[in-house]
Amino acid sequence: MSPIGRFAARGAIATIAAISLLSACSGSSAPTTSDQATASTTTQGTTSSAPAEPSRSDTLTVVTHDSFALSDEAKAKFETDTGLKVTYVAPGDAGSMANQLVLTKDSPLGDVVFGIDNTFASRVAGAGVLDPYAAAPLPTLANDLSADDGHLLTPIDYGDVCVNADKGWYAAKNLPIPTSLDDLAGAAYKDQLAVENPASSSPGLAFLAATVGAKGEDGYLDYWGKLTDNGVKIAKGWTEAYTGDFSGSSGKGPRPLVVSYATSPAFEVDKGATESRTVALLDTCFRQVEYAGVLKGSQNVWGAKKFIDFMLSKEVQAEIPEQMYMYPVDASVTLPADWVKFAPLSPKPIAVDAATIGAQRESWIKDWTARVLG
Amino acid sequence: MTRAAGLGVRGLTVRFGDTVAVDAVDLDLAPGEILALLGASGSGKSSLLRGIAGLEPLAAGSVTWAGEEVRGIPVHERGFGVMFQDGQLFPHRDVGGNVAYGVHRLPRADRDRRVRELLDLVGLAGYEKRAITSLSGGQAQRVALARSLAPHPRLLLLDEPLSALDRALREHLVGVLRSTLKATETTAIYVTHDQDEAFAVADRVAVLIDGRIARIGTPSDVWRSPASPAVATFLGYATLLTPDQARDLGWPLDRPLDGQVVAVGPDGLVPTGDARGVAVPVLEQIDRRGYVAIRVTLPHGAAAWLKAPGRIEEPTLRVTLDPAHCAVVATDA
Amino acid sequence: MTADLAPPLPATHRGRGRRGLPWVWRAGWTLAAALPLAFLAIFFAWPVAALVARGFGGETGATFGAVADVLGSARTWRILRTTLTLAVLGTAASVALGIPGAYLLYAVRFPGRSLARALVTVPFVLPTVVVGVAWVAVLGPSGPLAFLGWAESLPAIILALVFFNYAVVVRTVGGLWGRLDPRAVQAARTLGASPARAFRTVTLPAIMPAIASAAALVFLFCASAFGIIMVMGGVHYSTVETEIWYQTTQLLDLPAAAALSITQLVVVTLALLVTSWTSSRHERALRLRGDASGEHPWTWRRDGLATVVTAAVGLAVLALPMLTLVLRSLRNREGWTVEHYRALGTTVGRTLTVPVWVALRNSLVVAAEATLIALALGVLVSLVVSRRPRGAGARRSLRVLDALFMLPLGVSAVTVGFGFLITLNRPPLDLRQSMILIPIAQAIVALPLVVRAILPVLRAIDPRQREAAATLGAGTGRILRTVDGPFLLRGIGLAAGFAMATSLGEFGATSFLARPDRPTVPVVIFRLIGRPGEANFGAALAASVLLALLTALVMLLAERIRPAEASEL
Repeated sequence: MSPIGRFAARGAIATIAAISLLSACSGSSAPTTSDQATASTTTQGTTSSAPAEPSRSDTLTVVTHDSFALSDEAKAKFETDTGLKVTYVAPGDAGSMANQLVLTKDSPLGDVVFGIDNTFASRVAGAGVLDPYAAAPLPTLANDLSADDGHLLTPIDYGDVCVNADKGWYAAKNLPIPTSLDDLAGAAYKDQLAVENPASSSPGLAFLAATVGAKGEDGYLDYWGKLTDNGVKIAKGWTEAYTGDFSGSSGKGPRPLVVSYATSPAFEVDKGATESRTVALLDTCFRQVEYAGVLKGSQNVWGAKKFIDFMLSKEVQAEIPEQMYMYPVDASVTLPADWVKFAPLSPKPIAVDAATIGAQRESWIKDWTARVLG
Repeated sequence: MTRAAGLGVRGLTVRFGDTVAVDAVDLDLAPGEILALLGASGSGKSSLLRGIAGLEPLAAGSVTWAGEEVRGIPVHERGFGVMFQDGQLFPHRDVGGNVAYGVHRLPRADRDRRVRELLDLVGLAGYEKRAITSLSGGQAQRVALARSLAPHPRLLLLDEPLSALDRALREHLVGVLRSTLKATETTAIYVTHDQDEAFAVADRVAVLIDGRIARIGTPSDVWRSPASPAVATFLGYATLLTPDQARDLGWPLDRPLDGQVVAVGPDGLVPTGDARGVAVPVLEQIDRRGYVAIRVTLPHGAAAWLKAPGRIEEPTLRVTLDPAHCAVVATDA
Repeated sequence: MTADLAPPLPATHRGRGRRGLPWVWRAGWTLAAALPLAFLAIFFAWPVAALVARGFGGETGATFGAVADVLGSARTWRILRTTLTLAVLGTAASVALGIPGAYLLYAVRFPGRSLARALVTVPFVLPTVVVGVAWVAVLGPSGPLAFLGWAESLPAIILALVFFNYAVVVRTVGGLWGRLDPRAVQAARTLGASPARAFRTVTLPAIMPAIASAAALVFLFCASAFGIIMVMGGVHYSTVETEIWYQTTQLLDLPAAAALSITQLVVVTLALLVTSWTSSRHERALRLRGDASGEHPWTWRRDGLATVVTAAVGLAVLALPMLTLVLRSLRNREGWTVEHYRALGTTVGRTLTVPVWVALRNSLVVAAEATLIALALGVLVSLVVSRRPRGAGARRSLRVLDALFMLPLGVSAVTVGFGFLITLNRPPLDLRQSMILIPIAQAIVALPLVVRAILPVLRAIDPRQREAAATLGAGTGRILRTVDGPFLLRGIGLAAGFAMATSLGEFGATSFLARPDRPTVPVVIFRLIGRPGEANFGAALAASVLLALLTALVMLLAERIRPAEASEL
């Protein structure tokens, strides 16, 4: 009996010691990592010194966020056309993904990224994570959506984050549906709005940016003070707000106003109805743009560029509305009939440039948290 | 008719599903009396005991103490103690803590005195602080006895308390048990499958067969007249003889056997040492302490053991029956 | 010493006895400890340490100042206080309510018990997002419990924590309770102890190790609860876990995250030390019945109170949200419908890349892999930790070993996930894009549960049984096989069930690792519920119900895997 136990224990002690050694090693592994990375970039430098012959391999790893979706047919076609084997990795939401790219810039997660939005664009572009790629310009680009002049990010799709209203609720209360940001702070609309926390939600951050854009960096906190006094409800994320709090959704929550997307009303149409139960307030919108880019240190720069071209191709652009609920940047693509009817884009979205958002995002959120959550 | 004092059991029945473990048992016990409940394994003796203690739900019947029904009274308020086969000492308490368990309401000084008193009584004075794990099997059972006696149970039920111990220790502890029970004037039911243990410890013995009491009485009464072949066999009467077979082996003619059988006890078959008796072939001889056990074949073909002072050289031996060590039993039919 | 006292062994045994433990076995035990430790080191300690080190060191040199800022801020302490309050209250409530449940579902026999046991486990694996929505529906303005006014309050979070952790207490404690020798309690009763006193003085000390073990698990789950706290508490309750998530994934403020991770590690380590101390105080060889004779049939008199408490918890805390879920999955705006279930065979419009049934297959494959890994490692860890060496130092290191494997439960999945990115990025461990990381990550989460399920059973083996086997000539291998083995098998059904269930419901780590084209069911549910429209919402609920049913089925099977109990006399 006892010898067994003793030896087991001795083994355990030895192994625990080994663990601490291991962790001690890892403590000093950071410089090693960058050394190796430097080494590999150097090697790559030599390989790519032959001009116009970017690195190439048989596989392509696409880094994206957890809302990414593309049909299997489209993927298969891309693989046949290019002879590449495509792997998607989706390490979390858009924010997680962007920050992981920055964290791993010495040893990139993949070859190409899709799904960096304009609230994270300047952070990723500024961190030196991307290599430039100038894709062939689209014949009919919907809007001027480019993020920078250095061609680091290629716009793929876009959409508007707007306050949505439950039409039935207002009809029943005999109250006009609010239209502007100021309306939302009005006494008639007390305890009706649900907003996502900008610290944890991308539409929440978009709406915060919209208020900054509309009220200015000096005025937005006062506006939020009014919203708070008017009983705004802060939810953790879009699901909690839209499904849990919003009366117009299938969750049948208590509040008739929620921050969501301009496209959301297209999904709240009863069978056979000619009108959506909800409507987006087009004067409250912030425009979100999603970009793709080539990751620096990619082992397959050629494939990465092909993938960006592929994302801009007609068939993918046509898939985007149904798969990812965003508008394609190619304005020549036919939109779903429901969208044309129920989900128009805002004619005048509130604009804030990506560089400002990138520089100010954290201080906005911090100040917002102090003001609204206390 | 319930006695005024002591335990009264009427029609006690314990069932496990469709199996009847205890079948309408009646039993009376006077205060201070020790009853041994003897039975083979599976005879229902433990179930009867647990039924009386309230540890097993009764299918039918009543249990009274001093004429009062105790069936509705929960186990811990009955004042019936149980000493378990393996002691069931609490490993997280020391010896003193175990003995004191049932008397925790006493003031500390009284409690300590009671613990000391009982440990003294079972011969383990000074063991209060010892850990349960440090005890030998015999010591553990003595602590268990002390523990079950500490709260002055009006009835103590002992469930094969010595069966896990070795024979010498068992014989010694039976004495300790009886003297302790008598010294504390404890009324007790002692369940065992060991006949010697039962006879040594009890004032009266009850033999349980198939859930019914087949025979009850003082040890000598029960031994002398087992009342049925089944009881006789269980008690250790090794051979049963029909009247004809008995007469062949020299059963006295002045003791008529009217359809009864003769149960031959361990000393019932004796070598005559002369020309009397019947010659039987010797099959096997084994030396025992002070005698030789000899196996023989009886005239009707059955084998039987008998005792002789020394080894037999001849292939046959003349034997006869000693009526003083045989019992006459009515057949079951 | 044992050898000196032992009777002379037959010649064939003597040689082995004198040599002591053969080197093979010595090496074997060391390996048994080393293998799981190496696994833990590579897939947990290293990534976490690397990320924390990056926070402290960073590329910009030492930033202890930033760490000090975090630790000095009032907000950090408020967050820590909230975390501890929620964890302590959640644990206390789960244990207090779970103990009657453990008794009723394991020590009492009644028809439908297996089903009840399986059903209480279902909440444990439901995705937090779905549970959040279900609870909001129950407690919200139009819900059946709206009158309590608990929406977004502390009681609501505690209720949800109990909802998730009830099964942990019931199963861990019940597993031991059902096999306690009932005669110990009977002995106490015949000595005049009331049922309450017998419980307090005999049963409670006997089940204390299991309670401590369950409490530690629940505490870790509560302290590291992420989704549920945010969903149930609105935005007013920030915990260390949610703060780490925010600082890491949204701000990439690694110094702050490192400081919080250290804080989390300290809290978790303290909790584990307390548990270890509690269980070692109560640890002893219990007299367990190999069969189920510790159980007794249901009677109103004896089991009434436990039944009422368990029924109340079962209905109000467990069944209500689950029923809400089921009912809602069967409704659309027009009325009753099965269309949401029909949609599971499709990609729900084009919201998903694969139909839900493919995700279900992915889930099952991953869960099977994770279960295998967790069982293999868990059995090794349990066997090593259940030894009883003589030396105090050796015993202490076994306790440390035991606690080490609990750590992953208390450390943020974000820290581990981000740690993976900067450690497992070079051959031969370039696993960042490998699908095997998913079952590995899930196995690490399930491992403590597996150990918790097996260890109490192994620890309860009377060491004399092993000695008895040894004196009968059994070598170490045969003792393991014949003494530990049968007990191990009994624990393994439960362990496999837990591991499988954990894996099926795991979302935190999986969401960092899952591939968009190979999603698991929780990932699919998360995606569906993250999109507007009734079709998506309904399909999310239907998929949740499917996941719940699958879990119930797995747990039912796990009960059956246990070897046939010896028939009762």
